[in-house]
Amino acid sequence: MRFLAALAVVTGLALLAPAPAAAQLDPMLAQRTKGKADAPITVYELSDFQCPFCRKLTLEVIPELDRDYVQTGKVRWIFVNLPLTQIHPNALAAAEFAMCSARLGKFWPAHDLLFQHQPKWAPLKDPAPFLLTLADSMGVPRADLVSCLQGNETRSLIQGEAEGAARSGVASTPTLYVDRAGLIPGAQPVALYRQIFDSLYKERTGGR
Amino acid sequence: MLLVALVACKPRDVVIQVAIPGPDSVDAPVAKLGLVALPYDRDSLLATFEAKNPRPAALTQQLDSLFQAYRAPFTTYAVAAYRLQATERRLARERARLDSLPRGAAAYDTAYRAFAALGDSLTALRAARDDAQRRLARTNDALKPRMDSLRIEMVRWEDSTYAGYDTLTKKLAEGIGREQVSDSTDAEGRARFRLPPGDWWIYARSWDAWDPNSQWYWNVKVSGERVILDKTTGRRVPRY
Repeated sequence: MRFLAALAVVTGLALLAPAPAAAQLDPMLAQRTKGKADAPITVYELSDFQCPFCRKLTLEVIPELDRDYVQTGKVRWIFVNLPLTQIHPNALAAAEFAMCSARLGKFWPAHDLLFQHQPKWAPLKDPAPFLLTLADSMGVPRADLVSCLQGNETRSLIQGEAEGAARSGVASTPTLYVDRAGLIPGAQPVALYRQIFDSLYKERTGGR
Repeated sequence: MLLVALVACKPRDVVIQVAIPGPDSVDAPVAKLGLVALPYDRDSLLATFEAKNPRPAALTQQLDSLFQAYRAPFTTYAVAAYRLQATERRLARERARLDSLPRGAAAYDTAYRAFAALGDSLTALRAARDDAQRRLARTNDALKPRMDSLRIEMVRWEDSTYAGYDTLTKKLAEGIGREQVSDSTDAEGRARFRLPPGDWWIYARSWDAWDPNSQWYWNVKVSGERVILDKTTGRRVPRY
């Protein structure tokens, strides 16, 4: 939890204070943040692109939460990398692909495509050629992406996030950290998230 | 927590402990034994292949009968060799004890008598071991040529029956996105696996101290954080 608190501080999201404007976010975090900057609830999604349960959450649950909470200004959503490399050999490559895409302003399209096509790239010995085909479909210049990937420019950032999450006691993915509320591990039914978000929203806005 | 385990990705740490009966019939840890965690049940797959081309009963019966004839001389030899080794070890301990006692002490006389009796018994034990060894060598000479030729036929049957097994298991592993994980046991007969979520089976084979034509075989489904491979979870199978 300390790492998440620290992450919140890094992003300017003091845990016991209202969330600041998106402009104050670290540029790499801003690229993977969606929702209103002053949303009363901030959610950190700790996820692994090769994890099938993260895929399930992303494809079956998050779209509904996005529509009803993020797009309506109730929730700000931030993605945090937690690749479980001991059990998912391609998770780090996928996270690097996503973070290099983030540098080119394409994090969320990369995020969605990685999860949609997970069954295709996850079992590959070398997922890089397949991932580059995803870059083409996102309209990202291959040369820019390849340069970022070959230079391992985002690796230390990803590993730092994963180590920090592990130190905070997060051992499984997906896990959602809801600021000032706690951790929700696993891909839970949408009703559970609704219950928590509705209750927090009411509490933090006085039911406005 | 059960709910989380079912809906989240989390590395699963599993400890495997292997022990089999040694020559003294007491379970002993097996060191440096190769273990494989498979994301599929190999027994079920093998059964599917064998359903199309059943095991040649005539061959296995002949081999079983030869193995049976070999077993008694081998056991006699193994027991004789074990007794001799155990007595030699005991004798060494007694010698060390004698060396630590003052020569004039009463305890020295008692210890010396025990040491001398053990020393006398060595001659008979060595003779029994040598006799058993000769009998085993004669049995080996008589049975081995036939065993070898039958085994070659068995290998031919296996090659034709299980053709395609490697390709199938490779595709299967790719399809479920999990590859086999290999490791070997440490000096205490223990190994640790970190496994991705999903069903896993631990597959291993080990020598059988009581019969060189037999081996221990395990294909145990992982449930929980500890898997025991021993005589209760494995089975003795012939080494065709």
